[in-house]
Amino acid sequence: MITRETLQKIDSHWAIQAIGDEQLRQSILQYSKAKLVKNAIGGQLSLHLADDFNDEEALKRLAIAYEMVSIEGMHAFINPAGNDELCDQFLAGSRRAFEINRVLATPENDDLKFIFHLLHLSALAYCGDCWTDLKHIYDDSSDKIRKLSSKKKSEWDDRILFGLFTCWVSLFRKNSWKDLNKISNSISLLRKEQQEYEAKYLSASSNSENKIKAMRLMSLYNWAKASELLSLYMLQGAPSDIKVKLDKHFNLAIKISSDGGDVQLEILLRWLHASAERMVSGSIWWVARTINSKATEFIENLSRQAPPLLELLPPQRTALKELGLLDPAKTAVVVDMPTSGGKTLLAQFKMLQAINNFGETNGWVAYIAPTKALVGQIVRRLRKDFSPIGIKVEKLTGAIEIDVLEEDMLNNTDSFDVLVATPEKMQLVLRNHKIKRPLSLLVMDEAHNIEDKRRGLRIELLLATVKQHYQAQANFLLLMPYVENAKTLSRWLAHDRDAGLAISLSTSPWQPNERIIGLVKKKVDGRDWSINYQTLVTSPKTIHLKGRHQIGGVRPIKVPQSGANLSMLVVGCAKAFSDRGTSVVIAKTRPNAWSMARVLCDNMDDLGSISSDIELVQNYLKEEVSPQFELIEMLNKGIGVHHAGLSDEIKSLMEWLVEEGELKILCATTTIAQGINFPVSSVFLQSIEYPYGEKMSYREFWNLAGRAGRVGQDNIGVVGIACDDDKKEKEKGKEKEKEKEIIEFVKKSTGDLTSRLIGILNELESSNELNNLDRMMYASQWEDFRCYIAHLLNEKKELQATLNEMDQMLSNTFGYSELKNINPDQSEQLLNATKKYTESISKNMGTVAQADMTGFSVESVNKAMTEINQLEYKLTASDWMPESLFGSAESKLSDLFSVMFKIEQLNFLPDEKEGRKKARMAGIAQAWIAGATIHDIANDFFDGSGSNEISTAYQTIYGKLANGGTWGLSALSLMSGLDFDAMSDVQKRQLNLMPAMLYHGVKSEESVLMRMNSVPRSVAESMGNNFKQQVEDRNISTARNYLNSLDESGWDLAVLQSQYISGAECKKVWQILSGETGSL
Amino acid sequence: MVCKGKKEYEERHNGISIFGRSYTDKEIDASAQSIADVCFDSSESKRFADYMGSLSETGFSAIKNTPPNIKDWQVGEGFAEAYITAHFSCSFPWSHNRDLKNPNSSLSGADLVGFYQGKFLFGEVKTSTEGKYPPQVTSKKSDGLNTQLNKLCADHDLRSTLIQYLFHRQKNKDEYKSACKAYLESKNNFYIFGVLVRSVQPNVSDWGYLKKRLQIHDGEKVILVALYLPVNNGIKRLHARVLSKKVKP
Repeated sequence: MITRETLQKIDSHWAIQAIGDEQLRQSILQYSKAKLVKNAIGGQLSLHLADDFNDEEALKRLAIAYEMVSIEGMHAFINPAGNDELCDQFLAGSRRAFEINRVLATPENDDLKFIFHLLHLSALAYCGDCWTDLKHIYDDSSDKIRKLSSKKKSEWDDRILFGLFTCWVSLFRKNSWKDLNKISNSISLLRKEQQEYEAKYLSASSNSENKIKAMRLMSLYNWAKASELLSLYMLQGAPSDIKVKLDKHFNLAIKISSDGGDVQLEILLRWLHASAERMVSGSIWWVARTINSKATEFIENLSRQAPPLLELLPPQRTALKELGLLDPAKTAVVVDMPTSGGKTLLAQFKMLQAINNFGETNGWVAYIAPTKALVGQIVRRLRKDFSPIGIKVEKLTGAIEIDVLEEDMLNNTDSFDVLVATPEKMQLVLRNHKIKRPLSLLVMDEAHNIEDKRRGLRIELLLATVKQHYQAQANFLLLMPYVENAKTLSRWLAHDRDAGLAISLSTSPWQPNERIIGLVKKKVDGRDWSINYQTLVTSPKTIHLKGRHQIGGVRPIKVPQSGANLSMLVVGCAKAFSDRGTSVVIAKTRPNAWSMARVLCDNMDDLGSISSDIELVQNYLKEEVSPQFELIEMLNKGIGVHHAGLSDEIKSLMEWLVEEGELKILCATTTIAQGINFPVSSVFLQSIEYPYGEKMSYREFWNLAGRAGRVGQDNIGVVGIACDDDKKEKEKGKEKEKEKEIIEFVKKSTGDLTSRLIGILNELESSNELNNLDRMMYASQWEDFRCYIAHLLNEKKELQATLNEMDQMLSNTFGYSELKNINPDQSEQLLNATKKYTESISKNMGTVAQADMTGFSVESVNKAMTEINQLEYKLTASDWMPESLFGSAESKLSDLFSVMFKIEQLNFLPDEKEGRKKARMAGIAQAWIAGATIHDIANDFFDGSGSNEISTAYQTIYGKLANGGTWGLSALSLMSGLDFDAMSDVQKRQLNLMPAMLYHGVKSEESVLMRMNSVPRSVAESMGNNFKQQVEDRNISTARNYLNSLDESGWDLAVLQSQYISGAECKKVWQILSGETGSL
Repeated sequence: MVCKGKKEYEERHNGISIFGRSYTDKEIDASAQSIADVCFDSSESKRFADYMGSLSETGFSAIKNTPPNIKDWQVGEGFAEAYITAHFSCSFPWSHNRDLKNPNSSLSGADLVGFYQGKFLFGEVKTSTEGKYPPQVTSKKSDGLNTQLNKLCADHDLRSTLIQYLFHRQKNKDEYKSACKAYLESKNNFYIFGVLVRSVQPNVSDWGYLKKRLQIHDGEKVILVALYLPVNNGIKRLHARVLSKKVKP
């Protein structure tokens, strides 16, 4: 893969030096970047460059210079025994030559010149690892390409040349399997036409010219054969000696064109030969040909998808072929890759390897994704790719307890090969040894969350748990963007020093697309205003064009100058850029996001005709929320909303609309940085701070900025950060303070990933509290750590044994193992304080066991016990039954919430902790389970049914009830002194299902099964009833089979009570949310 | 070596250097071998047969072919190349198989691609027996010398291809590198050669059209040369003599 070092090195090549001094070369490159930006987004952004350099001729010379650098290495590249340094030079030179050539004018008026130009440019892109940039180049020229049909040509050589051009456009574009399949048909047709056209072509000239023409034909025939072979290889991965065969025909074609004096054909063929070599090397067949039989089945399936996946992105190819991702000796692999670099596919190969290798022992793979939304996305993707090859993928819900249905699934040895869950949920599974089969691989997606202040320690301790219990057989794969110390992480997790592997590609020059990142400021002009855009120097590198540019026109949003605040600025930017593809607006708060969406609605036209996709989502919202829900109207204008005040399903549907290209603008909050996994065209941020003034981490920002620009669609991704105008800042007496802050923020490198454990210790040290570590360990930020210690103690069952092994067990954490190297004093302090804490909790091993079983800390268990004992009555089994808890007037739910509010770990907000709103929370839970719509809940409990109230209701349900509520109820039921032995099996099952009902907002086991399989809540009960009547053996898997087997009439039956959504629409929503295809 | 010929005229016009040289039959005799060396490639026939043989593996049928006869214009090009090699110290890294030069192909590059005074040289050659001055070959819109030379000056892509073409044939790395450096260092830093092979009375008005119409990048780097063969079938005689020197494979 092309490295920054190679790119730097080629700049000292004599050809580049000949162009002029560094300053001149930089001016030329800046000019080319400005042209690129102008071509791509000139309609939205008017450039006012500080540097007026515009020497087009110099630009062309620099393009030749880079091509010279490249062709010096061309022979070495094509020759398998070629010199590596020259190969690198070839690739890097091609890349730079492409970057300039792509901004030079296309010869539209001369067909032959156009053909040679486009094929040459494509070859440069291929050899320079920039082929993802080709799509929009082809899109720009699509009309011209369509017109260049060989059928219109009467001269035989033109007919072949135009025909081969079409074949190579298909090869470079790879739009569909059909396109590629056509290539061998086209070449067969040429063979048939030979008899008809060749004689006439040759007889039309003298003997001498006849021979020359014969030479040209022979060259073209060899090229045709090579093209046919290449297309077949890309489709099927055969013949296996493709490179030898390609070399043979290309070499002949080149030699004959050279002898025949066809200068341009010869040079083009040389370039196509090199790109064919590159195409084969990057094809899934070549990269994966020797992995294992599962991988072969997998890639065969990928190659038949629409659009087909036939080649790997450069970082994927490098990780697999050059950096040893699948090296069986490496037990811990950390992949640091740019956002949108294709990490999931790498994880898939690694999973296939694990499943293949552990097939006999029935091993399983744990896949951990940071949010419920990402769990859903990953499951959909894995099912789509893995189901056809018989690999079973299941997910666990986001509820922090394992219900009886999930328990059934975990105990069934055949139910899954891959299990996807959030860290919190997977922690419960792994810590409590819920699965008896061997864990073969743990994949941790977005593993940089290890440094997250809230959840980082929990994630680190989850990995430590796996190291502790499963290291003998389990391997690790950590996926993350922009992490500089990937190596350290891989060493921590590996069996031994040499078994760690870091694949660091985030800082490699390959990026999904170019990006500009800039400050967005208001420019005041009398009573009018416009938006100024100033690009910034960033790390990682993005395009920087000095000057003050303008986004959109004057007064881009209909508000007076005085009202044009930061929100209006980002809204104006998004509106201007929304024609290019989805623009994401990041608001500071949820109400902000709603109000921005409203402003956009007032300022944008209706979409005209509403697509069936948008209509589907609108009908879903009418059914699930209310026909008056504001978002429905917004969708008429292509505006979506995405934040924590919406259900996971609604968020998934918004994401789906973005992927389908249906949304012009998505208004979101900063929380999207945690979960965004879909590419958009541009991103505009109201601020780089979270609502309470805490700044976004560099890595979060870059993860978000990295989504700007869709691979293969946008050649420039645009990011803007709003900033007060200078005048306003001066008024506040903070001369450009905010601006400086943003400039510095984007300039900073993302740096090493640090353990939260070390972070906490450092914070204590700087506040001089490290000496009180024994005491400080009881603070809430140590909660996860204390749970971990309780778990270690509970596993060992004996204090002394635990203390003896404490050092060794703590070494399983990233933080402690690092501390021992970098700060032995601190590690000693931590060890001592931990031992002391262990001793203190060991006095009541029953509590320790309860803590380990529930996931509560010992302190939370104690608190809960105290609170339960203070209730005026003793809780009985019947109090815990769902119908009593959620349906009766004597429900104890309100009291249970008052207990839960006092347990800090459950994370209810301060006012709720005081217990003031316990009745309301219980009421919401009861209404939710009884099937009330979110609209009614908002009306009844939050004084209105506007978007803000609906958001608050959703936030209460998904943020509190579904997390703290389900976890708390499940834990309290285990601690409340119930005599489980005296309970009937039905009662136990009911008790165990209670939290799941709360989580899903339904009231029966069957409807829980429906919800687990992504059936919309509004039809889950009726669908569950139908399922109950038709299927005897009911579990997650039979529920899925049932849904998959339903035809339209089955869905119609389930929506009989629905007002707004049809059976077919409901089925479609289910397909989108579950990733299933259902019966066709 | 090709004889130098008799100087008929030499002048400069807007910086363009214009030369006229005439030849006697005797001088043609003396030059024939050098021209034949440029025109013929002894191993060409065998290679051609090999190429034909390879077709069976492409799935296309064999091509019917008859051996070619060399044409007047091809001899003219050979003469031009041999002349400027000898008397302008130009160098051409490949001097063979002119016999397979493609006449009117839009895929072709230029008649002359080589080095002159440490820089790249791109040139075109025209052969004409027309009695008029200037001959139409200098002014024809489609493929006249004027059009071709202007194209070499203006077409960045074409020159880029020719430079790569030379790269794959370079024999002297330093020569190539210095020409390439010069090309990259500044705008229009290369030579353009226009050569006319005539069998009429020498007359500088052969260049009349080009002097008026040639939109040249930098007159200082343009050289126009007319080579006058004896009137009355001078070109035919040259042709016959060159053919007689062809080395049989």
